[in-house]
Amino acid sequence: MSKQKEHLVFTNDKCIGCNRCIVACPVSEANVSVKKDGKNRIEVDESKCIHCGRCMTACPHGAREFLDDTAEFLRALKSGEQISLAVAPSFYITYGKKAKQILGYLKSLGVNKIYDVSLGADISAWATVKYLEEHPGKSCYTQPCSVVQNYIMSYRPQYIDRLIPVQSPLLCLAVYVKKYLGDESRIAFLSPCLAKWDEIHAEENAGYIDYNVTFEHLATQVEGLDLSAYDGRADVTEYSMGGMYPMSGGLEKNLSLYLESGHTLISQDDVFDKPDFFDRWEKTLQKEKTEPVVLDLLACSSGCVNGTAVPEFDPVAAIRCGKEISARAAGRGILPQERSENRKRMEEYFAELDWNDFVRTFQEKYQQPYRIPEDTYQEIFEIMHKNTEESRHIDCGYCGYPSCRDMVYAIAYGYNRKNNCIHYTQEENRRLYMTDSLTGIANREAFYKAAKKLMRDSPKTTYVIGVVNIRKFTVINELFGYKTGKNVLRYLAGQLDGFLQKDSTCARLNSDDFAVCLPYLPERMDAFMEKLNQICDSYELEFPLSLNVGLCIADDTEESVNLILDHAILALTLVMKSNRVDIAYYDKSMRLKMLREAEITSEMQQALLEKQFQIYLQPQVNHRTGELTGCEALVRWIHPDKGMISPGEFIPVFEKTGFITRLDRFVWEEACRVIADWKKRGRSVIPISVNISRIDILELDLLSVFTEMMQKYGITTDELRLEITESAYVEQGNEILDVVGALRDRKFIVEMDDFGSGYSSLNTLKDVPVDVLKLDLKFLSGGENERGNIILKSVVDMANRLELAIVAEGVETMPQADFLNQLGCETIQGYLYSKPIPVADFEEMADARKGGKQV
Amino acid sequence: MRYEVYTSSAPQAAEAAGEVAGQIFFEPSTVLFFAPDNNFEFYTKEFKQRFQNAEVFGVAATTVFTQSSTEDGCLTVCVMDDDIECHGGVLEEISRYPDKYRGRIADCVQKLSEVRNTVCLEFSAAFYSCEELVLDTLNKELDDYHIPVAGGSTGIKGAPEQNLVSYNGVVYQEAAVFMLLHNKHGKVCLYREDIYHPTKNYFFATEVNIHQRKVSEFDDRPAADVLAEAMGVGIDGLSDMLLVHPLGRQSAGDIYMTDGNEILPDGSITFYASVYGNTRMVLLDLGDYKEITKDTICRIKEDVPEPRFGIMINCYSRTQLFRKENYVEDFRDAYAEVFGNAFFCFTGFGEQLYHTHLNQTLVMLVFE
Repeated sequence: MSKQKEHLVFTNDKCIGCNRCIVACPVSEANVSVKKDGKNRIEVDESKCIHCGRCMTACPHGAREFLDDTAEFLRALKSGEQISLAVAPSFYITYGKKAKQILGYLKSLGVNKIYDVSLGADISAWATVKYLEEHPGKSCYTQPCSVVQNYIMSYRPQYIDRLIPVQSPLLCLAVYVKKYLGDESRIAFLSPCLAKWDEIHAEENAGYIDYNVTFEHLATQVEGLDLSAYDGRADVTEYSMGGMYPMSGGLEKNLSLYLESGHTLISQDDVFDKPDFFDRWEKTLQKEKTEPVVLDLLACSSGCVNGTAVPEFDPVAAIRCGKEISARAAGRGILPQERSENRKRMEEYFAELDWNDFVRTFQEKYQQPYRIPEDTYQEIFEIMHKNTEESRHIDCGYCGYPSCRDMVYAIAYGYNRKNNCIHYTQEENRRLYMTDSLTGIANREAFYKAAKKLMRDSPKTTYVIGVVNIRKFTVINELFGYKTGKNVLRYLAGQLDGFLQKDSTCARLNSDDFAVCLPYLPERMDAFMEKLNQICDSYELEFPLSLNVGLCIADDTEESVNLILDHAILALTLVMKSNRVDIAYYDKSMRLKMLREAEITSEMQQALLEKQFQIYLQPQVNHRTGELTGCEALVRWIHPDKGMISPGEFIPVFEKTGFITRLDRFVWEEACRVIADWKKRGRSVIPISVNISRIDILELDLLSVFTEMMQKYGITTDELRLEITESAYVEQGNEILDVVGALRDRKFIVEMDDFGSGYSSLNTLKDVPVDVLKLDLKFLSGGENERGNIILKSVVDMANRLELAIVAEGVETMPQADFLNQLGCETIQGYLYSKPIPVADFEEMADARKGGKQV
Repeated sequence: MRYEVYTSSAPQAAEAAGEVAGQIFFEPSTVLFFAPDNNFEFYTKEFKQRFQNAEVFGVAATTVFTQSSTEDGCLTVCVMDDDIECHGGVLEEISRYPDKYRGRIADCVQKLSEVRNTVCLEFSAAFYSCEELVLDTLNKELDDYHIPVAGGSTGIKGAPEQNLVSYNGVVYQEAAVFMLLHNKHGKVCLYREDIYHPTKNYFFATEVNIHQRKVSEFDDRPAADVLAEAMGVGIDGLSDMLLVHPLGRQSAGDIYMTDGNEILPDGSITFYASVYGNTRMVLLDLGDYKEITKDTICRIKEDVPEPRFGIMINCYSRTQLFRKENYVEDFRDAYAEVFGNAFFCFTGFGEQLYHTHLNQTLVMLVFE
């Protein structure tokens, strides 16, 4: 049974996954990309590796190492086992004078005999010559290099027949030592090559060599030791020029001393540096009909003297040694030009040897690769976003493979991962950057680019950019949970994306807003609206799905997509929200309005501090007597630069921003101050009505506020009246009842403002505690409309029966006032008598009306 | 034109062989027998001895349905006359290097009188993880001639060394027999039937080992975790679920089924077919197999109104399911109604069709 090592060549922790090992490796599938602890690394598949060591040379990080038997050898030696050494000829070249010292040291540890593998090389040459002479027409490969053997047996089985079936110099020596010299010791090979481990421990070679002790690992063991006193020499050395075997061309020089078979000897080292080396040579050998070739193949550049386990190669020392070997051989009468004579002498020297002891067979270890179907290539290319011919042939080599197709093959086969393709990673990152992670469609950034491109590529097409918003999306989240909310978003995204054509685009902007860009054509817009409706109808949820759509036509080519999108968003704010899908188109006035609102917002705080706000009073007059019975306080903004700003302009903005509460408090306080001032000046107090908004009711403790104010200014509850709009009663219901009830308990007079504008039922009137009904003639259209008049009459009648005081607001004409008076509504407020006027003007008016009709 | 199928359940091999041979009254040119492994060598030599001029193929198998039998452990012999021209051979070392024997396929092709209406039927020894290599080798040689390949993985469950084939009197282990069958009287139609349909659970095999037929990760997570989650079970319950939920490998718009084999401690899962890296896979659910059988038969009748002979390769898992559901007889009878006696249904541990190795499938060859 052959010995197995789990990992002869392995990756240590220094690997960063740079792929240089893949580039260098003659067998790409021997390197497997794995991810461990989030880090990329390339590990060795031992079953595929031919142990050529090229990855170790290629790796700048020192991430590849190898194992050998050095530690076991030294342990065995120290434990007293009888071990002889077989020393590779390159040992002397590598270590020079130190070689004998190391050998001497090992002798001192207990090494039995020392054998020079040069003799094994001579025996191997002898056996090889015999084989070649018996096969004169056959082109062959030499066999000493274990890496070449591994490669041919595992990956090029069709060339096994070309390998000369003769043992390597090492095994020739081992056979000679064991069988012919009778040395029963275990043998350790001092080796320049990590791949020799395979040959040593192969099943067919079992029992000859026991340890592969590499120069590199032995050197670390003897480092720092003083070896100067040691001297060890080989007990058996070369016959001829066997010592040149480990050099590039060394075997050629050896065989050429003897060979007369007509073979051309060619040396090739660093064979794996050339792609498809064997296949190319095979083509040449097939063509070459005349003279057969013997190829001396070596995996390492410059041969075994620069082997995978040689710490440092000295080419000068190699050349010098080569000359010394030649000289020694010449000294024995072995001369290059004397082939016949050399051959004869070699036969005599090795006469006792049986050629059959030195032959070997090569085991076919080929594993047929799986064919990857073309469909699989296509699918993987698509997954890697390589959807064009160009992108499939980038062939940059960063992944370690020569071509993109090779990388796809590796991915399909399972020894690499698509994340190792730099172009895939770049594209994936780009897509992630441009993709909304929840829905998988484009994000805002991608939308800008896509929309810009669409408009640029089709300058004659008018596009519309829209924002689609899911109405009350927060309610969906609250009622059904965020998971359902996300599903709704995904659904909408998928529907939009699937619906839009190539000349359109869509994206998710944020939360529940989606952007679309499509040609502004009637049929396209109709189809788009129809699709949106269909989306709302088809989604199954116990809450009606409805959408707001703000659109902006991109008819100004100067405007950026960004700006057009902003316009669409602005338009969104004006959507009426009455149908399933409602749209609003942006027009320029919206922008002005938006700017104006921004301006108001920015100035409102300062305006309050600088007392730019004033209260104006609109009189309430008893139409019958002409007496001033009260007034309503209304706020006016007197801007120092812009003059009066209409409440219609700033009140909605204040309500939007929440500033209204502060303004209301100002108005109330001002009203109290005016009343207090009247009292102080001895004037009659005309009750002032102040408005209370829905927000005030929700956010303030009105009872405390007003009580405090009353106390502060010394006012009584009949001097300050509180107006609450009818719609507040409708919307806030029970909360209002509690607040109003509390106020009335404290004797505040509460007025229901704008009665008729809301959707209150008569039940509201029944339940709501008010003292005064203020009728809004806009809604009750008194005077001109007979039907309206009938309703008005009924309301007045009802109010009288309920013993509620009535004030009619918005009265502009005398006939209106007369009509109301006839009905029983005497108190009139409106432009008939006066618009809202400054306090000073009101005081003048009050003085003029004192005691009755106007003067 | 003669295509006949005979079965014997005689306990003694000689008796069974005699019983079958005694019913064959013509000189067949092709003999294909299925027998359990214990007497396989005997049958191999016996049938070659009896039919020296025929191409004799043997396949070790336990279960083969015929018109007359659905029992296990019988000897089943199919004989054809020379209306089906047959040239065959063996691919050896199929787990490592079947391509070494590709020349044998080429030799058979050269012997064919015509490549039209020809199909390659093969039987590979199961549990060597070799079927893809066998298919690659066969198709490499036959693609140019547009000769499609169909076949099955033969043998006894869990015992690769018992999965034998034979050709012309010689038994082979770790081998595949192949036969090029040219129908002189019409076309040969190939069918594939799946009784499972896809669910909504899809995954990408992001870390694989083709040789080991292993998927280590789906969607960059341990494969077992992903499948267990999809099936709503814990890891402990996954094995049982995999027995009834094969997975489908999506490719070019089609789904090719594969059975889960083993769940490894590191969360990897091995399958009975190779899964390529980044293959999209889908969890499958059992469909209405009775209706599907009817559909298949309808398709056959539509394509081949007068079928003369049928060869069926049925997955072992399907056979087990049909036995459990007491459907085996009905299944057999449905096809007997189509083919009469001229069919057999071999139960194997994998099915091959065109370029793909499948599990949980029925592959059928129908000769016009």
